[in-house]
Amino acid sequence: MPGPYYISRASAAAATAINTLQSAPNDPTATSAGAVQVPNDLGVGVMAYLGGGFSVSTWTATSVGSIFHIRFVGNGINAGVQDVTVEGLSSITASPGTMVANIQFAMPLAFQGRAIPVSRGNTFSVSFAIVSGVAVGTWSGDITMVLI
Amino acid sequence: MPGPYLISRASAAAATAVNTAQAATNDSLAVASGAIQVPNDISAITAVEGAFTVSTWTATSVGTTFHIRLTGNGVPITQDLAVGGLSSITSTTGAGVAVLAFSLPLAQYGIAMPVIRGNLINVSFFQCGGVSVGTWSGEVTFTFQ
Repeated sequence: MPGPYYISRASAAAATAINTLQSAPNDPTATSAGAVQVPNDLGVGVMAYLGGGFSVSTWTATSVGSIFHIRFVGNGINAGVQDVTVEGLSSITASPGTMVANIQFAMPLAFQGRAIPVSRGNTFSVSFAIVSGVAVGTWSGDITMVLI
Repeated sequence: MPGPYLISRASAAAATAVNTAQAATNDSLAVASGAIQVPNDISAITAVEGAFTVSTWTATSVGTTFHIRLTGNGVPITQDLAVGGLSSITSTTGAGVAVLAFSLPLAQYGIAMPVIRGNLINVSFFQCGGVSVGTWSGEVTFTFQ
């Protein structure tokens, strides 16, 4: 049993609109790895940890703000769909000389008694969204899911 | 049993492109230490902590996420760990300050990472997606128990 399995998925930076899914099929080398296949390992039954970050690489306008969100969909997730709210980010300006921000999060789901049940051998897709507000510009995310 | 062993690896600051590995082979004195040899009396990485930094911002309006990848025969499979995102509107002096540090008590979270005694683990860092922030580097401490 080689797990826990630390599996990551990232999105390519894009100006994905508010309330529209941005798919996250990539590994850190930008190779498309597609949906996550839950390891077919008898020891695996849950997503025990979720962490990572989001970034904005091109700010499009003054006075923008939104909330970053993760959605898991597929038969690899026992509930079919799981939605996770991560963090909000707001900016008054797109002018130089004003702002540096970071978004990082670590959710020890099992430790908190809320591990997400997963289904061995099946798959689930990972996508991100900016939820409500005004689109911040070109953005992307990278998350790690620990399956045990 | 003299462990736990707190072993660190750092990268040399470089303008490594997005989605390209930046090798983390140095100790804290910038001496090349290469891959980590897993101590012969332990079985897991129980904590990962460290930070990333940007030492020269190349342009306005940049952003990416930082990532750690462990490979080699010291880990059963490639293990990927996303750390956090960093975004900047500015490269103007005196304008923005950010911290990108992390501390993950894996064993406490019930997700200790199994390792193989006596074998080697290569550590590399990535900017994952977005626009490269400039010249950057990282340092990570792994606790082996």
